[in-house]
Amino acid sequence: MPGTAIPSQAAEFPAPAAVEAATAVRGHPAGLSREALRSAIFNSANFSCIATDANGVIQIFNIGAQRMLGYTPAEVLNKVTPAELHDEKEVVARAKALSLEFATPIAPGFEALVYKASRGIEDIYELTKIRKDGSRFPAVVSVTALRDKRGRVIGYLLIGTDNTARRKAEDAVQQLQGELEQRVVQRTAELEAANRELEAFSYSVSHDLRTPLRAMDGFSQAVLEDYGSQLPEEGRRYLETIRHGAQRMGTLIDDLLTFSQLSRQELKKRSVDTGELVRAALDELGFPGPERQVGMHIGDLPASFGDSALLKQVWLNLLSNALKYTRKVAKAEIEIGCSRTAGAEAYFVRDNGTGFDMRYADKLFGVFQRLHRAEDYEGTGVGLAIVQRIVHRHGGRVWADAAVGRGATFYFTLKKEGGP
Amino acid sequence: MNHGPAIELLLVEDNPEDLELTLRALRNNKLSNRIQIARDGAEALEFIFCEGAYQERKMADGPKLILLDLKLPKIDGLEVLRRVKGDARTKMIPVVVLTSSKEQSDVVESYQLGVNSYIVKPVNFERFAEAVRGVGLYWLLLNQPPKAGE
Repeated sequence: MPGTAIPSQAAEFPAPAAVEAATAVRGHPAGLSREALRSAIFNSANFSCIATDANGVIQIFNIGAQRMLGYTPAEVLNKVTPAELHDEKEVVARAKALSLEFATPIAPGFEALVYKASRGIEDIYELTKIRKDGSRFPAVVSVTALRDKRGRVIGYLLIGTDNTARRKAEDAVQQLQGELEQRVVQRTAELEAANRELEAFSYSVSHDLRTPLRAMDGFSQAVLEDYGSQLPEEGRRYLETIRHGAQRMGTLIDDLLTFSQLSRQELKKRSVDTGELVRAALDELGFPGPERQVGMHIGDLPASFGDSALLKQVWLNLLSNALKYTRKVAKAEIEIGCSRTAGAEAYFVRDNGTGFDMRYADKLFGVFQRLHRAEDYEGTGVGLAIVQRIVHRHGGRVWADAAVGRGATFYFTLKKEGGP
Repeated sequence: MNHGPAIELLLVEDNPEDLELTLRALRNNKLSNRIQIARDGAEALEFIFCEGAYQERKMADGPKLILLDLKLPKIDGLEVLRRVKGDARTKMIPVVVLTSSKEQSDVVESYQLGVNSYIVKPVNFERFAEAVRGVGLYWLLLNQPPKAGE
């Protein structure tokens, strides 16, 4: 609000003593009625209206100011400046801040309250006002420089409102925010503690659970080596069964650990050449190998966006399944590709192997869930759970389509780079 | 064993079954000469640095190789590794971590401390024996260490 040149009659606000008389005037011609209205506005008790001369000495102190601050006009008129009704430290701080902002020394008194207004700059600020009885309250003050017809500053108008209610509400919001932040900090700490516990747990599983298994396997083997010739065949078979059990449990522990590590491992996402990934996975699986004839058809595979080590794990698991479940088929066929349906790109691995009953499809991706007997097809039942977890961590979806004896197709999608 | 000829191999292992299996694997591969056993990290350090019960020993008498478990009573394997690799008198001794832990943090920290090999003990005894054989053959027979005083 630039400094406003106010018509002279407005500058001559009636002194409070005269106000009562003015408001009493009713039913008079339009000119007088407007005068009464003007007086009524000025005497509204909801805002303090203080006008000073050019030096800051209070000249007008309305009813609102009297109620808010507890002074009578006689106690302030021609005696003090509004600066003396404010918190001194705040006025000093404001003077310091303005001195810095305008690179000129500004006195820590009335000048600090009106400096901006005197330069024609809009100025509304919040300061603590002090009542006659010493009590304090937050007030929002709007300052205007009053000018005569030639533009010279003849005084200042300070309109103030009591900001207590609003401040209370703000304090409440701030307190709630503080409590919320506190709660977030607490929850985060709890989560971190739980995470550490989980890590300690998985460390312990990794180390301590394997040790007795090694003893079971190792000493069974020692008996076979040292005393095998003294044992009947049945006895040797029992020992082999113990070894097999111990080794299988070792594999289960390893798979479970891999699965749990997938959740805490950080994803290093980048653009990945899917075709290369598939070829590396096949290579790792020993394909093509000498012992089996498999018709492998690799279609067009668009680049994917994700953690290449984890995506390779997805391909490894799906392809090793495809190779495993086509083992008993005379002419094994595996197709790898990418289908575009309903605008989504879904990578797929299709085989003509043993397939499965779609009634059990919901169990497919659960940990330790198996749809085949261990003596038919070996496995721990963790592979597809790992696939699902990796795909989910990449914002994608995985599903299957199959029929008993007619093969299975596994599909998965991945979130595109920068995609939703 | 304590005050005999130079020690070839220091085996640091607290678990009695793993200890027996490791010794069996070494014996099966004729690598069982002059082995010293330490059952915790503190004993291992006393032996290596010729302190406490081993103060009569000379550091020049080896070991030529340390097989080190990580999870040990009193002083853990990573601390033993830190002390061995942080001391000019012992940092040239090859240390092979032989542990059940597959934790990436253990692997990374071991290598940062200067471990020469990190081997996860397999559950399967044949593979375990093969790993011990490989380590023994490589570090005790094949590998050429710097001559003393160089």
